[in-house]
Amino acid sequence: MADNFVVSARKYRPVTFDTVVGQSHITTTLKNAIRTNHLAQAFLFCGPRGVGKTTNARILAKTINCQSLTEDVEPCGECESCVAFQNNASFNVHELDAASNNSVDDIRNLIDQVRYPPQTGKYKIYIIDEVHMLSSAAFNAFLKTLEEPPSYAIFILATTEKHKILPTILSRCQIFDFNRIQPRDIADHIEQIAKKEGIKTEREALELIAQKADGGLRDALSMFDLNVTFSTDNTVRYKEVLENLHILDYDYYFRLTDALLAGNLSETLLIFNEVLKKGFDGHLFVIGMLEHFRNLLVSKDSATVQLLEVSETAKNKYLDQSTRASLSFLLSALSVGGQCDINYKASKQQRLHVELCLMKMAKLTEVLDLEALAADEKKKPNVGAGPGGVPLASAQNDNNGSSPNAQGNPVNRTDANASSLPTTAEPTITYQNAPNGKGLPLGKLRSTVNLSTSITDTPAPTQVSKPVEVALDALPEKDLPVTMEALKEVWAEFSRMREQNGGAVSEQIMLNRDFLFENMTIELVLDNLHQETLLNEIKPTLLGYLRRKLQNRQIQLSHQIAQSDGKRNPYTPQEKFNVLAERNPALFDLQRLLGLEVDF
Amino acid sequence: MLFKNILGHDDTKRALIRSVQNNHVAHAQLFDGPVGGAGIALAWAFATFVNCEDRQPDDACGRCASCSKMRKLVHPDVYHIFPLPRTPKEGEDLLGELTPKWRAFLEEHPYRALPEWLAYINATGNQQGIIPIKESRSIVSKLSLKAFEGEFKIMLFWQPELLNVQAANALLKILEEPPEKTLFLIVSSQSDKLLTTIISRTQRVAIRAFTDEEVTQFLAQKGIDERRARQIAYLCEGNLAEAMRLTNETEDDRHAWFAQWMRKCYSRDFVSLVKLADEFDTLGKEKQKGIFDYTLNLFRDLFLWQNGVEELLRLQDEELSFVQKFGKAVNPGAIELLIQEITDGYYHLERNARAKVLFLDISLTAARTMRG
Repeated sequence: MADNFVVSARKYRPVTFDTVVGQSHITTTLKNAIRTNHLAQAFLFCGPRGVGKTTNARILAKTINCQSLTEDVEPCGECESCVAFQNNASFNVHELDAASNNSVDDIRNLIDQVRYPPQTGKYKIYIIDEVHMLSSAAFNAFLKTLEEPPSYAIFILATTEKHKILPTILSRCQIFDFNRIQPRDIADHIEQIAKKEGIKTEREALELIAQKADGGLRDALSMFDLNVTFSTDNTVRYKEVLENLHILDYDYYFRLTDALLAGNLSETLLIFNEVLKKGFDGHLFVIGMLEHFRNLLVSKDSATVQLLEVSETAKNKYLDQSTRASLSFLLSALSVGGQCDINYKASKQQRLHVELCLMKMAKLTEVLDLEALAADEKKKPNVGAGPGGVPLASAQNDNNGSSPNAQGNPVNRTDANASSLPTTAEPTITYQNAPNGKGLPLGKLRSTVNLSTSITDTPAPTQVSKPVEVALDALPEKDLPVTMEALKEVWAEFSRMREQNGGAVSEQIMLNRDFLFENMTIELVLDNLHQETLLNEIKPTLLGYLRRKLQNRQIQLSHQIAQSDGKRNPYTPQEKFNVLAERNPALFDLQRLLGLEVDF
Repeated sequence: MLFKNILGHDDTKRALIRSVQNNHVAHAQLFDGPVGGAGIALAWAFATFVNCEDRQPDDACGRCASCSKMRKLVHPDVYHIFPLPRTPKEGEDLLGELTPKWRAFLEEHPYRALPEWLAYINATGNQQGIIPIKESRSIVSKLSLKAFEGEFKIMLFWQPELLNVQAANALLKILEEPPEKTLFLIVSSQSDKLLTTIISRTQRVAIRAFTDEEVTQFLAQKGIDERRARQIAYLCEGNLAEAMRLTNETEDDRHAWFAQWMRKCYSRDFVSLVKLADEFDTLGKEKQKGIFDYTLNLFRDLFLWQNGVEELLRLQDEELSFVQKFGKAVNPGAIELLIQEITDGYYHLERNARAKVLFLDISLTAARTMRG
């Protein structure tokens, strides 16, 4: 083993601003600052891992100390300062690892050093890497120096976690936010390096690496090295990259989705088994599957197709499959899969957990078909579309909203869904609680599932509003006389209605009681404050109902809270004393004369 | 440890060997594989190979001075980092004290899991295992030395996910640009818990879990009869640490127990179900969990069988025939429900629910739903 192998990320670390990949907005700014001599005393470089923070800090340090800058503001690489820097021997550039030297003493040392001007060159530069790990005492000790350092000192702070840095530090620095590097740039960069290393590459393989790197060039280069290591003939091929990087080929997901759409459960289970056999993690598989569904969802609409970040061939495949997968299937599958993802870690038999999830997905098409069937049977004009385009949620609502007697087959299906489709089923559950106790006449609410008011114009909303109008319009011009019997009857009717609609027990207790009726005013005697609140809540409904039924606008309702008739028992020592003293006033004298206090 | 002593994983071995032969060894490599897999063994073998004085084409020689030191893990250029039971006190060299134990621990067999290690060093109940920042600093100082005799200084690093935040950050700089001739061999089983900044500095070597055949083979080498070995392989899902634990358990007949339980549930024999629950209560907690584990595994097979994916079944003999008969009788919807019940039950059992009540509850649900 002659010379050391150095990983590409280090070997090809850029040494001039020009060679930095994908951060032109930062390099141009820095170059301009150097050219016009507008250098700030402190910089903060932040951004995700592997995008060039440390690299840029070093280039900046090298450039501002270079004695003979080139035309386009790049270091010459030949002068004394540059050579010293390249040999890691520059006295003017100090690189500190803030993560292992994070105490306040380390910063004090640094501040002490800053006091001495540079012996050669114009500037003394301090690169403080991983600066987010400084303790807060260290940060604070640093503040004064950072704000007003000697003219020759420049600080460059670099970190991945900007949010951990004190605002007082942030306000003293010029902040440069580094971007994630675009996959295309990464792929291009690797291609160049591969050429220099004499390695043959496939463009698709490089794109795959770039995608997997998620914007970090160092990640990409690490992966590239790995693939070169693993290849037998110095060639990086797509197939091998998939294997080495442990990426699941999207073909699996295409096959899986096809099987799911066909409702072929055993096929999907076999695919899953194949994936696991290859050593892939079940959780990653689930996440990948969700991503695949997302991609299909995105490709359904021509406006969003551009959100696909895949190669051209893959894009066509997605477009092709997305025509076959219905929107409702994708949405429901996403929700089933999301649930599976959430509970994955907690599950004891994780493999089985995923398999059950797959089973639910495989049955989705069947369920959706039934939904459409049921909807068609009802001959609802709005539902027309079936599984082709209407999301499941609205299809359900149409069924529910049609009429209260629609509780045949379709409702059972909905119940079955409730367990398997958490998110789509959720709204159906919430509606029952929401409007309760509002001013709306509750008598109709059972049959009007008005979730879809904002989504579609199903008949439901009109049904909700109708009774209100009736309540207003139906009030007669002339008031009819009201008899006690009629009133009692209507009252009892109202009470029954509330009970059927799931009114609270305490409400029933409040309603089912005798009342007085004088001068068109109902007088109700309540037991406690709680009943009063209840009554106030339903009062508008109740009165509206009574006035309408009895054809009389004059009816009023008043109430009062009954005084507790039972005598209050003395509990506290003071109360007991008072009771006793009332019976025997001499006790007061006794207390007063001896200055006694109540305490027993 | 030599490559040839490790079962399977031929691709990974070949790739590692080739990287040395092509002089293409990255300075930081992340051996990423499931718990109880071959990660640490491969890293050990790789370290042996790298420093071997007489490298063979497909393995280290196993005879030279370096190899024999590596066999006992006492090579002076190999540093070990492993989880400690607690933060060392000021001036205490806990890592140094525990290193001999660590060597002995790995020499027993190298497919280990964290709980085993903690038990091995007698860590008390709530000591979880950590790698404190002090260790990160000691790495930095150790690596500033030159190699004593081998070509490379090697840092064998087990369970990096236990690094705390400070410790992990303190490693970043050295991990990116270590001194010459330094290798970090990092063995992780939960790489998703590592800092992304660490992952991006390493080359990831993916390691798959052991297959059932490899587990069976491994157990056969340890002198366990074939039937039992197959049973264990079925339960441990490629985790050799778990497999070793299971071999130490007394032979039990989970299947008979399970079959009896299910039959009684199916025939709705409530009187004997109550008796069975009492019996269940007297078993140890580990055994109770074992039965639930087995039940879940078997339910999975039932589920597969009912959905017509017979080729995935890994059962044999009586278990297979049980699944076939039972699968015909039982209502498919019930299986899903019962799986949920048992998963919940497992959760409650771990948190000290009364086994008797729990078991009877599950039995009753089973009896109610099974016949559909």
